[in-house]
Amino acid sequence: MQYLSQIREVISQLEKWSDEGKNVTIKMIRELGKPEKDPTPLVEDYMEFVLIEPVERDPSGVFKRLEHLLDVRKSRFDDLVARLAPAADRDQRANIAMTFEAAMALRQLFLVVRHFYYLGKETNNYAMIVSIQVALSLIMKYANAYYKALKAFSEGQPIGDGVGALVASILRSEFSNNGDAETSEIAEDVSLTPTVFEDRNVMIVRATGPGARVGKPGEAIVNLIKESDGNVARVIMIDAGLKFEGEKTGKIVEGVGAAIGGPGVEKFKIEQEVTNRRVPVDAVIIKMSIEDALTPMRKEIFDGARKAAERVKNIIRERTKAGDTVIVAGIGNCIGIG
Amino acid sequence: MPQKRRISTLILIVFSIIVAALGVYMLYLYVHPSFDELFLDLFTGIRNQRLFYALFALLLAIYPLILFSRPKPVPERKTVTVVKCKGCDYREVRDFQKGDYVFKKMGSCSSCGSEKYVSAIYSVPVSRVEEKEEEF
Repeated sequence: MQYLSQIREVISQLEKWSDEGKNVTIKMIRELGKPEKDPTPLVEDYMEFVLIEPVERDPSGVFKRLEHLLDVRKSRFDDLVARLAPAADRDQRANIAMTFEAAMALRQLFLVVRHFYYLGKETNNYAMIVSIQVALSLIMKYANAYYKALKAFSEGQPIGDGVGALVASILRSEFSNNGDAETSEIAEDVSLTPTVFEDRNVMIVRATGPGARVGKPGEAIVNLIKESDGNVARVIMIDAGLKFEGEKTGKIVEGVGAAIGGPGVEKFKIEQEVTNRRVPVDAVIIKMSIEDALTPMRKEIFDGARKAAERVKNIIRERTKAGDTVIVAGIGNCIGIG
Repeated sequence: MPQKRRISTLILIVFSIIVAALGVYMLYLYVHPSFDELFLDLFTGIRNQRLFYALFALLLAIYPLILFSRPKPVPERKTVTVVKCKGCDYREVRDFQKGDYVFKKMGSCSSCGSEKYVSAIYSVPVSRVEEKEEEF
Protein backbone atom coordinates (compact mmCIF):
# COMPACT_ATOMS: atom_id res chain seq x y z
CA MET A 1 0.00 0.00 0.00
CA GLN A 2 2.75 2.35 1.00
CA TYR A 3 4.69 1.56 -2.19
CA LEU A 4 1.60 2.20 -4.28
CA SER A 5 1.03 5.60 -2.73
CA GLN A 6 4.70 6.51 -3.29
CA ILE A 7 4.47 5.51 -6.96
CA ARG A 8 1.20 7.44 -7.35
CA GLU A 9 2.89 10.53 -5.92
CA VAL A 10 5.76 10.20 -8.42
CA ILE A 11 3.35 9.67 -11.33
CA SER A 12 1.41 12.82 -10.49
CA GLN A 13 4.69 14.75 -10.17
CA LEU A 14 5.88 13.43 -13.55
CA GLU A 15 2.56 14.35 -15.16
CA LYS A 16 2.83 17.86 -13.72
CA TRP A 17 6.39 18.28 -15.03
CA SER A 18 5.45 16.84 -18.42
CA ASP A 19 2.57 19.35 -18.74
CA GLU A 20 4.86 22.12 -17.60
CA GLY A 21 7.38 21.09 -20.26
CA LYS A 22 4.71 21.31 -22.91
CA ASN A 23 3.60 24.73 -21.62
CA VAL A 24 7.18 26.06 -21.57
CA THR A 25 7.62 24.92 -25.19
CA ILE A 26 4.36 26.57 -26.27
CA LYS A 27 5.25 29.79 -24.44
CA MET A 28 8.67 29.82 -26.07
CA ILE A 29 7.17 29.29 -29.54
CA ARG A 30 4.71 32.14 -28.93
CA GLU A 31 7.42 34.50 -27.68
CA LEU A 32 10.13 33.80 -30.24
CA GLY A 33 8.21 32.46 -33.23
CA LYS A 34 5.23 34.81 -33.33
CA PRO A 35 2.99 32.16 -34.93
CA GLU A 36 -0.26 33.16 -36.61
CA LYS A 37 -2.12 30.07 -35.38
CA ASP A 38 -2.26 28.58 -31.89
CA PRO A 39 0.71 26.13 -31.69
CA THR A 40 -0.88 23.99 -28.91
CA PRO A 41 -2.56 21.27 -31.07
CA LEU A 42 0.61 20.64 -33.12
CA VAL A 43 2.82 20.55 -30.01
CA GLU A 44 0.41 18.10 -28.37
CA ASP A 45 0.44 15.90 -31.48
CA TYR A 46 4.22 15.68 -31.46
CA MET A 47 4.68 15.18 -27.70
CA GLU A 48 4.65 11.40 -28.14
CA PHE A 49 6.51 11.28 -31.45
CA VAL A 50 8.40 7.99 -31.78
CA LEU A 51 11.42 6.71 -33.65
CA ILE A 52 11.18 3.03 -34.50
CA GLU A 53 14.71 1.72 -34.28
CA PRO A 54 15.99 -0.42 -37.16
CA VAL A 55 15.97 -4.19 -36.82
CA GLU A 56 19.23 -5.52 -35.35
CA ARG A 57 18.79 -9.21 -36.13
CA ASP A 58 20.53 -8.49 -39.43
CA PRO A 59 23.24 -6.18 -38.09
CA SER A 60 24.88 -5.40 -41.41
CA GLY A 61 24.48 -1.69 -42.16
CA VAL A 62 22.46 -1.06 -39.01
CA PHE A 63 24.21 2.28 -38.37
CA LYS A 64 23.45 3.49 -41.89
CA ARG A 65 19.80 2.64 -41.40
CA LEU A 66 19.76 4.25 -37.96
CA GLU A 67 21.45 7.40 -39.28
CA HIS A 68 18.88 7.64 -42.05
CA LEU A 69 16.02 7.39 -39.55
CA LEU A 70 17.66 9.98 -37.26
CA ASP A 71 18.08 12.32 -40.25
CA VAL A 72 14.43 11.90 -41.18
CA ARG A 73 13.40 12.56 -37.58
CA LYS A 74 15.57 15.68 -37.40
CA SER A 75 14.23 17.05 -40.68
CA ARG A 76 10.65 16.43 -39.50
CA PHE A 77 11.38 18.36 -36.31
CA ASP A 78 13.19 21.17 -38.14
CA ASP A 79 10.19 21.54 -40.47
CA LEU A 80 7.79 21.46 -37.54
CA VAL A 81 9.68 24.13 -35.59
CA ALA A 82 10.01 26.28 -38.74
CA ARG A 83 6.24 26.05 -39.23
CA LEU A 84 5.47 26.68 -35.57
CA ALA A 85 7.93 29.56 -35.10
CA PRO A 86 8.32 31.38 -38.42
CA ALA A 87 9.81 34.53 -36.86
CA ALA A 88 12.53 32.72 -34.85
CA ASP A 89 16.13 32.80 -36.10
CA ARG A 90 18.29 29.68 -36.61
CA ASP A 91 19.66 29.56 -33.07
CA GLN A 92 16.27 30.23 -31.50
CA ARG A 93 14.75 27.40 -33.55
CA ALA A 94 17.45 25.05 -32.32
CA ASN A 95 16.68 26.07 -28.73
CA ILE A 96 12.94 25.54 -29.27
CA ALA A 97 13.61 22.06 -30.71
CA MET A 98 15.80 21.14 -27.72
CA THR A 99 13.19 22.40 -25.22
CA PHE A 100 10.64 20.31 -27.09
CA GLU A 101 12.93 17.26 -26.76
CA ALA A 102 13.23 17.77 -22.99
CA ALA A 103 9.43 18.04 -22.68
CA MET A 104 9.06 14.85 -24.74
CA ALA A 105 11.55 13.02 -22.50
CA LEU A 106 9.49 14.00 -19.43
CA ARG A 107 6.32 12.81 -21.16
CA GLN A 108 7.99 9.48 -21.98
CA LEU A 109 9.11 8.97 -18.38
CA PHE A 110 5.59 9.70 -17.15
CA LEU A 111 4.04 7.23 -19.61
CA VAL A 112 6.52 4.44 -18.78
CA VAL A 113 6.15 4.71 -14.99
CA ARG A 114 2.34 4.91 -15.25
CA HIS A 115 2.31 1.90 -17.59
CA PHE A 116 4.19 -0.34 -15.15
CA TYR A 117 2.15 0.94 -12.20
CA TYR A 118 -1.14 0.01 -13.88
CA LEU A 119 0.27 -3.27 -15.17
CA GLY A 120 1.47 -4.24 -11.69
CA LYS A 121 -1.89 -3.35 -10.17
CA GLU A 122 -3.95 -5.11 -12.84
CA THR A 123 -1.99 -8.33 -12.63
CA ASN A 124 -1.52 -8.11 -8.84
CA ASN A 125 2.18 -8.47 -9.51
CA TYR A 126 3.75 -7.33 -6.27
CA ALA A 127 7.27 -7.91 -7.59
CA MET A 128 6.62 -5.44 -10.42
CA ILE A 129 5.36 -2.80 -8.00
CA VAL A 130 8.41 -3.29 -5.78
CA SER A 131 10.77 -3.07 -8.76
CA ILE A 132 9.22 0.29 -9.80
CA GLN A 133 9.47 1.51 -6.23
CA VAL A 134 13.16 0.55 -6.14
CA ALA A 135 13.81 2.45 -9.38
CA LEU A 136 11.82 5.53 -8.31
CA SER A 137 14.74 7.52 -6.95
CA LEU A 138 16.72 6.98 -10.17
CA ILE A 139 13.70 7.83 -12.34
CA MET A 140 13.13 11.02 -10.38
CA LYS A 141 16.81 11.91 -10.73
CA TYR A 142 16.50 11.75 -14.52
CA ALA A 143 13.13 13.50 -14.52
CA ASN A 144 14.46 16.27 -12.31
CA ALA A 145 17.43 16.74 -14.67
CA TYR A 146 15.12 17.06 -17.69
CA TYR A 147 12.84 19.40 -15.77
CA LYS A 148 15.74 21.69 -14.90
CA ALA A 149 17.01 21.41 -18.49
CA LEU A 150 13.75 22.98 -19.68
CA LYS A 151 14.71 26.31 -18.10
CA ALA A 152 18.27 26.15 -19.43
CA PHE A 153 17.12 25.36 -22.99
CA SER A 154 14.33 27.94 -23.01
CA GLU A 155 16.70 30.68 -21.85
CA GLY A 156 19.71 29.56 -23.91
CA GLN A 157 22.00 28.90 -20.92
CA PRO A 158 25.07 26.67 -21.45
CA ILE A 159 24.59 23.19 -19.98
CA GLY A 160 27.16 20.76 -18.55
CA ASP A 161 27.06 18.58 -21.67
CA GLY A 162 28.43 21.52 -23.67
CA VAL A 163 31.79 21.43 -21.90
CA GLY A 164 33.51 19.75 -24.88
CA ALA A 165 32.34 22.54 -27.18
CA LEU A 166 33.44 25.07 -24.56
CA VAL A 167 36.97 23.63 -24.46
CA ALA A 168 37.10 23.87 -28.27
CA SER A 169 35.97 27.51 -28.05
CA ILE A 170 38.59 28.32 -25.39
CA LEU A 171 41.32 26.78 -27.57
CA ARG A 172 40.03 28.57 -30.66
CA SER A 173 40.16 31.84 -28.75
CA GLU A 174 43.71 31.19 -27.52
CA PHE A 175 45.15 29.84 -30.78
CA SER A 176 43.65 32.41 -33.10
CA ASN A 177 44.16 35.80 -31.51
CA ASN A 178 40.98 35.97 -29.42
CA GLY A 179 38.81 33.89 -31.71
CA ASP A 180 39.05 36.08 -34.81
CA ALA A 181 39.99 33.16 -37.10
CA GLU A 182 37.74 32.26 -40.00
CA THR A 183 35.18 29.55 -39.30
CA SER A 184 33.37 27.46 -41.89
CA GLU A 185 30.73 24.74 -41.72
CA ILE A 186 32.34 21.39 -42.52
CA ALA A 187 29.40 19.07 -41.82
CA GLU A 188 25.79 19.43 -40.73
CA ASP A 189 25.72 21.93 -37.83
CA VAL A 190 29.47 21.50 -37.26
CA SER A 191 31.99 24.31 -37.74
CA LEU A 192 35.71 24.12 -38.40
CA THR A 193 38.30 26.71 -37.37
CA PRO A 194 41.83 26.14 -38.72
CA THR A 195 44.40 27.54 -36.25
CA VAL A 196 48.12 27.25 -35.51
CA PHE A 197 49.60 26.28 -32.13
CA GLU A 198 53.38 26.01 -31.66
CA ASP A 199 53.92 25.29 -35.39
CA ARG A 200 51.22 22.62 -35.55
CA ASN A 201 48.11 23.01 -37.69
CA VAL A 202 45.25 22.55 -35.29
CA MET A 203 41.81 22.01 -36.82
CA ILE A 204 39.21 22.88 -34.20
CA VAL A 205 35.87 21.20 -34.71
CA ARG A 206 32.71 21.78 -32.69
CA ALA A 207 28.96 22.12 -33.13
CA THR A 208 27.84 25.49 -34.46
CA GLY A 209 26.74 27.69 -31.57
CA PRO A 210 25.27 29.38 -29.70
CA GLY A 211 22.05 27.51 -30.52
CA ALA A 212 21.28 24.10 -29.02
CA ARG A 213 22.99 21.78 -31.50
CA VAL A 214 25.22 18.74 -31.37
CA GLY A 215 25.64 18.36 -35.12
CA LYS A 216 27.50 15.53 -36.82
CA PRO A 217 31.05 15.79 -35.49
CA GLY A 218 31.84 12.27 -36.70
CA GLU A 219 31.12 13.25 -40.26
CA ALA A 220 33.24 16.40 -39.82
CA ILE A 221 36.25 14.40 -38.55
CA VAL A 222 35.91 11.86 -41.36
CA ASN A 223 35.69 14.67 -43.96
CA LEU A 224 38.79 16.34 -42.53
CA ILE A 225 40.82 13.12 -42.55
CA LYS A 226 39.73 12.39 -46.11
CA GLU A 227 40.51 15.95 -47.26
CA SER A 228 44.04 15.71 -45.85
CA ASP A 229 44.40 12.23 -47.40
CA GLY A 230 45.05 10.70 -44.02
CA ASN A 231 47.84 13.11 -43.09
CA VAL A 232 46.49 13.74 -39.63
CA ALA A 233 48.92 13.08 -36.78
CA ARG A 234 46.29 12.83 -34.06
CA VAL A 235 42.64 13.28 -33.27
CA ILE A 236 41.90 14.68 -29.81
CA MET A 237 38.31 14.45 -28.64
CA ILE A 238 36.92 16.29 -25.63
CA ASP A 239 33.57 15.37 -24.14
CA ALA A 240 31.56 15.25 -20.93
CA GLY A 241 31.53 11.85 -19.25
CA LEU A 242 29.43 10.37 -16.47
CA LYS A 243 31.19 10.39 -13.11
CA PHE A 244 31.03 7.64 -10.54
CA GLU A 245 29.22 8.55 -7.32
CA GLY A 246 31.79 10.00 -4.97
CA GLU A 247 33.88 11.52 -7.74
CA LYS A 248 34.18 15.29 -8.02
CA THR A 249 32.29 17.17 -10.73
CA GLY A 250 34.67 18.73 -13.23
CA LYS A 251 37.42 16.15 -12.75
CA ILE A 252 39.51 15.51 -15.88
CA VAL A 253 40.49 12.06 -17.07
CA GLU A 254 42.44 11.11 -20.17
CA GLY A 255 42.19 8.03 -22.32
CA VAL A 256 42.09 6.73 -25.86
CA GLY A 257 39.13 6.19 -28.16
CA ALA A 258 36.31 8.20 -29.67
CA ALA A 259 34.88 10.28 -26.84
CA ILE A 260 31.36 10.79 -28.07
CA GLY A 261 27.97 9.64 -26.83
CA GLY A 262 24.61 9.46 -28.54
CA PRO A 263 23.18 6.55 -30.53
CA GLY A 264 26.62 5.48 -31.78
CA VAL A 265 26.37 6.55 -35.43
CA GLU A 266 29.01 9.29 -35.19
CA LYS A 267 31.26 7.16 -32.99
CA PHE A 268 31.12 4.34 -35.53
CA LYS A 269 32.12 6.68 -38.40
CA ILE A 270 35.11 8.03 -36.46
CA GLU A 271 36.27 4.58 -35.35
CA GLN A 272 36.04 3.22 -38.88
CA GLU A 273 37.98 6.10 -40.45
CA VAL A 274 40.75 6.32 -37.83
CA THR A 275 41.21 2.57 -37.93
CA ASN A 276 41.50 2.50 -41.73
CA ARG A 277 44.04 5.36 -41.69
CA ARG A 278 45.80 4.27 -38.47
CA VAL A 279 45.26 7.68 -36.84
CA PRO A 280 45.64 7.67 -33.03
CA VAL A 281 42.66 9.04 -31.08
CA ASP A 282 43.02 10.64 -27.64
CA ALA A 283 40.11 11.33 -25.32
CA VAL A 284 39.84 14.02 -22.66
CA ILE A 285 36.80 13.57 -20.44
CA ILE A 286 35.32 16.08 -18.01
CA LYS A 287 33.36 14.15 -15.40
CA MET A 288 29.86 15.05 -14.21
CA SER A 289 26.56 13.49 -13.18
CA ILE A 290 23.55 13.16 -15.48
CA GLU A 291 21.94 16.10 -13.66
CA ASP A 292 25.05 18.25 -14.19
CA ALA A 293 25.08 17.34 -17.87
CA LEU A 294 21.54 18.58 -18.49
CA THR A 295 21.34 21.55 -16.13
CA PRO A 296 23.01 24.99 -16.41
CA MET A 297 26.79 24.56 -16.40
CA ARG A 298 28.21 24.58 -12.87
CA LYS A 299 31.29 26.61 -12.03
CA GLU A 300 33.24 23.42 -11.29
CA ILE A 301 32.60 22.27 -14.86
CA PHE A 302 33.57 25.66 -16.28
CA ASP A 303 36.83 25.51 -14.32
CA GLY A 304 37.25 21.93 -15.56
CA ALA A 305 37.03 23.23 -19.15
CA ARG A 306 40.05 25.49 -18.55
CA LYS A 307 42.04 22.58 -17.13
CA ALA A 308 40.95 20.33 -20.02
CA ALA A 309 42.16 22.96 -22.50
CA GLU A 310 45.60 22.85 -20.82
CA ARG A 311 45.60 19.03 -21.07
CA VAL A 312 44.83 19.26 -24.79
CA LYS A 313 47.74 21.68 -25.26
CA ASN A 314 50.03 19.27 -23.42
CA ILE A 315 48.90 16.36 -25.62
CA ILE A 316 49.64 18.43 -28.73
CA ARG A 317 53.09 19.42 -27.38
CA GLU A 318 54.08 15.93 -26.21
CA ARG A 319 52.61 13.68 -28.89
CA THR A 320 52.92 15.67 -32.11
CA LYS A 321 55.78 17.51 -33.77
CA ALA A 322 56.09 20.82 -35.63
CA GLY A 323 54.32 20.76 -39.00
CA ASP A 324 51.82 18.07 -37.98
CA THR A 325 48.09 18.43 -38.45
CA VAL A 326 45.94 17.75 -35.40
CA ILE A 327 42.16 17.59 -35.17
CA VAL A 328 40.71 18.83 -31.89
CA ALA A 329 37.02 18.00 -31.61
CA GLY A 330 34.90 19.46 -28.80
CA ILE A 331 31.81 17.28 -28.51
CA GLY A 332 28.54 18.28 -26.93
CA ASN A 333 25.51 20.50 -27.03
CA CYS A 334 26.79 23.99 -27.69
CA ILE A 335 23.78 25.90 -26.34
CA GLY A 336 24.95 29.26 -24.97
CA ILE A 337 28.49 28.81 -26.28
CA GLY A 338 29.61 30.96 -29.20
CA MET B 1 3.70 20.20 3.94
CA PRO B 2 0.10 19.16 3.13
CA GLN B 3 -2.25 18.65 6.09
CA LYS B 4 -2.82 14.93 5.30
CA ARG B 5 0.92 14.21 5.17
CA ARG B 6 1.53 16.14 8.38
CA ILE B 7 -1.04 14.02 10.23
CA SER B 8 0.40 10.72 8.95
CA THR B 9 3.93 11.84 9.94
CA LEU B 10 2.63 12.71 13.42
CA ILE B 11 0.97 9.29 13.76
CA LEU B 12 4.22 7.59 12.73
CA ILE B 13 6.25 9.58 15.25
CA VAL B 14 3.79 8.68 18.07
CA PHE B 15 3.94 5.02 16.97
CA SER B 16 7.75 5.08 16.97
CA ILE B 17 7.87 6.62 20.45
CA ILE B 18 5.48 4.01 21.91
CA VAL B 19 7.35 1.09 20.31
CA ALA B 20 10.73 2.53 21.36
CA ALA B 21 9.48 2.90 24.97
CA LEU B 22 8.36 -0.71 24.92
CA GLY B 23 11.76 -1.74 23.62
CA VAL B 24 13.56 0.20 26.35
CA TYR B 25 11.33 -1.43 29.02
CA MET B 26 12.12 -4.90 27.61
CA LEU B 27 15.79 -4.04 27.67
CA TYR B 28 15.44 -2.96 31.33
CA LEU B 29 13.78 -6.26 32.19
CA TYR B 30 16.61 -8.08 30.42
CA VAL B 31 19.32 -6.22 32.34
CA HIS B 32 17.55 -6.31 35.74
CA PRO B 33 15.69 -9.61 36.01
CA SER B 34 14.36 -10.91 39.34
CA PHE B 35 16.00 -13.99 40.94
CA ASP B 36 12.95 -16.17 40.05
CA GLU B 37 13.19 -15.11 36.46
CA LEU B 38 16.88 -15.98 36.34
CA PHE B 39 16.09 -19.49 37.64
CA LEU B 40 13.20 -19.86 35.17
CA ASP B 41 15.41 -18.66 32.32
CA LEU B 42 17.61 -21.71 32.75
CA PHE B 43 14.70 -23.84 31.46
CA THR B 44 12.63 -21.48 29.28
CA GLY B 45 15.05 -18.90 27.82
CA ILE B 46 12.52 -16.09 28.63
CA ARG B 47 15.30 -13.63 29.36
CA ASN B 48 16.82 -14.07 25.91
CA GLN B 49 13.40 -13.65 24.37
CA ARG B 50 13.18 -10.29 26.13
CA LEU B 51 16.40 -9.18 24.51
CA PHE B 52 15.10 -10.29 21.14
CA TYR B 53 11.81 -8.38 21.65
CA ALA B 54 13.70 -5.31 22.82
CA LEU B 55 15.90 -5.26 19.71
CA PHE B 56 12.93 -5.96 17.46
CA ALA B 57 10.93 -3.11 19.04
CA LEU B 58 13.83 -0.66 18.69
CA LEU B 59 14.29 -1.59 15.05
CA LEU B 60 10.57 -1.23 14.44
CA ALA B 61 10.69 2.22 16.04
CA ILE B 62 13.58 3.39 13.87
CA TYR B 63 12.34 1.95 10.55
CA PRO B 64 9.57 4.50 9.82
CA LEU B 65 11.95 7.32 10.69
CA ILE B 66 14.46 6.02 8.13
CA LEU B 67 11.73 5.42 5.57
CA PHE B 68 10.25 8.88 5.89
CA SER B 69 13.42 10.84 6.54
CA ARG B 70 13.60 13.76 4.15
CA PRO B 71 16.52 13.97 1.75
CA LYS B 72 18.93 16.86 2.24
CA PRO B 73 17.53 19.93 0.46
CA VAL B 74 19.42 20.78 -2.72
CA PRO B 75 20.76 24.35 -2.54
CA GLU B 76 19.17 26.74 -5.00
CA ARG B 77 21.45 27.80 -7.84
CA LYS B 78 21.71 30.89 -9.96
CA THR B 79 23.35 31.39 -13.35
CA VAL B 80 25.73 34.32 -13.64
CA THR B 81 27.47 35.92 -16.62
CA VAL B 82 31.04 37.18 -16.37
CA VAL B 83 31.93 40.04 -18.72
CA LYS B 84 35.59 40.92 -19.23
CA CYS B 85 37.59 43.37 -21.31
CA LYS B 86 40.34 42.24 -23.69
CA GLY B 87 42.46 45.32 -22.94
CA CYS B 88 42.15 46.06 -19.22
CA ASP B 89 41.20 44.50 -15.87
CA TYR B 90 37.50 45.29 -16.27
CA ARG B 91 35.40 42.47 -14.88
CA GLU B 92 31.69 42.38 -14.21
CA VAL B 93 29.67 39.55 -12.70
CA ARG B 94 25.93 39.87 -13.21
CA ASP B 95 22.80 37.71 -13.47
CA PHE B 96 22.44 35.73 -16.70
CA GLN B 97 20.19 37.46 -19.25
CA LYS B 98 18.45 35.86 -22.22
CA GLY B 99 20.66 36.25 -25.28
CA ASP B 100 23.97 35.93 -23.36
CA TYR B 101 26.44 33.34 -24.62
CA VAL B 102 30.09 32.59 -23.95
CA PHE B 103 32.46 34.69 -26.15
CA LYS B 104 29.65 37.07 -27.13
CA LYS B 105 31.02 40.52 -28.02
CA MET B 106 29.62 43.16 -25.68
CA GLY B 107 30.76 46.44 -27.27
CA SER B 108 33.68 48.63 -26.27
CA CYS B 109 35.01 49.14 -22.77
CA SER B 110 34.27 52.56 -21.28
CA SER B 111 37.67 52.80 -19.58
CA CYS B 112 40.12 51.60 -22.27
CA GLY B 113 38.05 51.36 -25.47
CA SER B 114 38.96 47.71 -26.11
CA GLU B 115 36.37 45.07 -26.80
CA LYS B 116 34.31 43.59 -23.96
CA TYR B 117 33.11 39.99 -24.18
CA VAL B 118 31.31 37.34 -22.15
CA SER B 119 34.15 35.27 -20.70
CA ALA B 120 32.05 32.81 -18.68
CA ILE B 121 28.52 31.70 -17.88
CA TYR B 122 28.05 29.29 -15.00
CA SER B 123 25.73 28.42 -12.17
CA VAL B 124 26.65 28.90 -8.51
CA PRO B 125 24.71 28.31 -5.28
CA VAL B 126 22.64 31.40 -4.46
CA SER B 127 24.47 31.85 -1.14
CA ARG B 128 27.78 32.20 -3.01
CA VAL B 129 26.63 34.94 -5.39
CA GLU B 130 27.08 37.59 -2.73
CA GLU B 131 30.59 36.39 -1.97
CA LYS B 132 33.56 37.70 -3.91
CA GLU B 133 33.89 35.67 -7.10
CA GLU B 134 37.29 34.11 -7.57
CA GLU B 135 39.12 35.28 -10.68
CA PHE B 136 38.38 33.20 -13.75
